[in-house]
Amino acid sequence: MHPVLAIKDLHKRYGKVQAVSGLSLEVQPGTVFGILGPNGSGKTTTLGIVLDVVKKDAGTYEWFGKSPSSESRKKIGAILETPVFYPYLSAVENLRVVARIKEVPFTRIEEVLLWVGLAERKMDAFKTFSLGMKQRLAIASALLSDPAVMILDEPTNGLDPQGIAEIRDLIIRIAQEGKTIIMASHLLDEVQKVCTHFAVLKKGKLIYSGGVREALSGTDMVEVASADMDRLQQIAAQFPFVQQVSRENGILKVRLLPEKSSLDLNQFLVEQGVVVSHLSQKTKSLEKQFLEILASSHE
Amino acid sequence: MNKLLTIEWLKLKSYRPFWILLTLYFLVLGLVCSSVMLYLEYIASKGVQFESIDPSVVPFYDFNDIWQNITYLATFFKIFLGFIVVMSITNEFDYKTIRQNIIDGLTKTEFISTKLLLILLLTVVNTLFLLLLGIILGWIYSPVQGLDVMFDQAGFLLAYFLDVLTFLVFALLVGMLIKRTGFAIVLLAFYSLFIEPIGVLILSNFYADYTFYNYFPIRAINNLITIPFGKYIFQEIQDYVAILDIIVVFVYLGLFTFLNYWILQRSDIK
Ligand SMILES: Nc1ncnc2c1ncn2[C@@H]1O[C@H](COP(=O)(O)OP(=O)(O)OP(=O)(O)O)[C@@H](O)[C@H]1O
Ligand SMILES: [Mg+2]
Repeated sequence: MHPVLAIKDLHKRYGKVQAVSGLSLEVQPGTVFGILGPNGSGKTTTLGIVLDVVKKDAGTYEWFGKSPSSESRKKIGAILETPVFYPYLSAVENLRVVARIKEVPFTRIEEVLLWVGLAERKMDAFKTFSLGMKQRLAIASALLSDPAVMILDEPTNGLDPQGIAEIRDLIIRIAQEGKTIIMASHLLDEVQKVCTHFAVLKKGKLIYSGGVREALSGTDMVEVASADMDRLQQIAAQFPFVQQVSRENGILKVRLLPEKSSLDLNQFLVEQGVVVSHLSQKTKSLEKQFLEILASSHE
Repeated sequence: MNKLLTIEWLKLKSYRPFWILLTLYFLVLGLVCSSVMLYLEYIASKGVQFESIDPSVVPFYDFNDIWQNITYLATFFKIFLGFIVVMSITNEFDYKTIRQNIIDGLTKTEFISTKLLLILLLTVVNTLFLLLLGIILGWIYSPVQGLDVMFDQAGFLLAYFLDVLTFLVFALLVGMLIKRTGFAIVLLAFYSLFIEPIGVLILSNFYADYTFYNYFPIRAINNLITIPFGKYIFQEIQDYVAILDIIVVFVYLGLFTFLNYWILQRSDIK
């Protein structure tokens, strides 16, 4: 099966700024792919290039194993940066323009508006919408052609926590329908919740790419405490699946091998006759991972 | 083509400024073109004379003079259609909808084609409007009637069509280059009403022996239909459309069209 999107050695320069620099990336079908990176790291530029609105300097990209064309764009639902619509047209009228472009029957419009919960405001002009409604309309528009792939560039930008939660739920529902989603975001918490894979860009270069689960597992830290801390430390160190043990503020921090969890450690301690007074498993957050990846990349 | 026209129609259908400007344009054009005789009679009553000729006897609407007369008069109003065209393209940049249209699956060529189709439609409607106006006014005022005289000289309508079409494609190009509605409208008005005409005037004073300035775009477009009124005071006028002028304007039409496509093809769309 072809990757949905395959980017090879992409370059783009704006004057003195090398916005994208030798970027290669593959997005497999059915994944929810997060693109992370600090401001100005080239996320939007990359998405702009693969959507044919920004000219690349060098490199190639393919959609569904074919060279890009307007036909492939019709099968992609994409929002770049902010929701873009004719302000004086109503939601329905705006979606009619998109439906004509994508060659989709108008009957589809009602469906997508219902889906994003905008059916009641469908006759109102776009300019009267709140930011959250604009984002939802953009998602409705991207869903019009029932695309195999959706591209979302900061879909929760500027929303309040409730708005963020709404958009997140929408994205999760879309992903559950088996669509591939490519999403640029700053909200690592969001990416952690919805993405299966992620890539990290820095100054236009790819510095990391992999699965979210893999990135978060294997770095589990278990915190334990007991009445006799010295004995606890001694026994815990004998657990065969321990990578590292350290003591901090009366709590023992135990780093385990990837396949083991706090459950295994606890069972071992009980077998050795140690009763613990505190046990908790700290899963690593994507945020921490992300900062580590950025810090460990040179430059 | 049908698809592209529908897309443009959906965009403009409920855009008030477009319909207001268009209605105003046709109102003013219709009023001015049909009130020339009233005006001439009015100034005659004030005792004005054109080289000892009574203005009220000028056969402005007579077949077949009427076609050159009203098409010449009508060309002065095409700048308003130009504003409409500029607005329709700069809005797309302003709202960033041009980028979204392309992301959604329109090709850049299709995008420009929707605008060119709009221009074509405006020009066709505009020319038909003038045809109708000419028939009605001629029917009211002309002492000679009949199909044979009526449409003799109606070829000026085709020249008018080419004139407006080329000017509007030029307006589209200005919009494509400037991208900001206000600036583009001011620039289009300034260039076509002042800068080029005044430049040509100055150049023609200094270089009376040459005619290169006749090939400037606005000048070339305006040359298609020359001022016909001199004949009423017994001056020699050009009462036909010169082949060379047609060729020059066609070259500009091709060039402007090409540049519109080329600029969009070549550039990033923000
Ligand atoms: N049209 C442009 N002209 C000049 N420079 C640009 C242009 N667009 C982007 N850049 C530059 O290219 C670099 C990458 O920008 P880009 O918008 O792709 O970053 P981003 O990762 O999307 O950032 P953010 O997280 O802030 O959205 C930046 O340094 C930016 O200043
Ligand atoms: Mg961005």
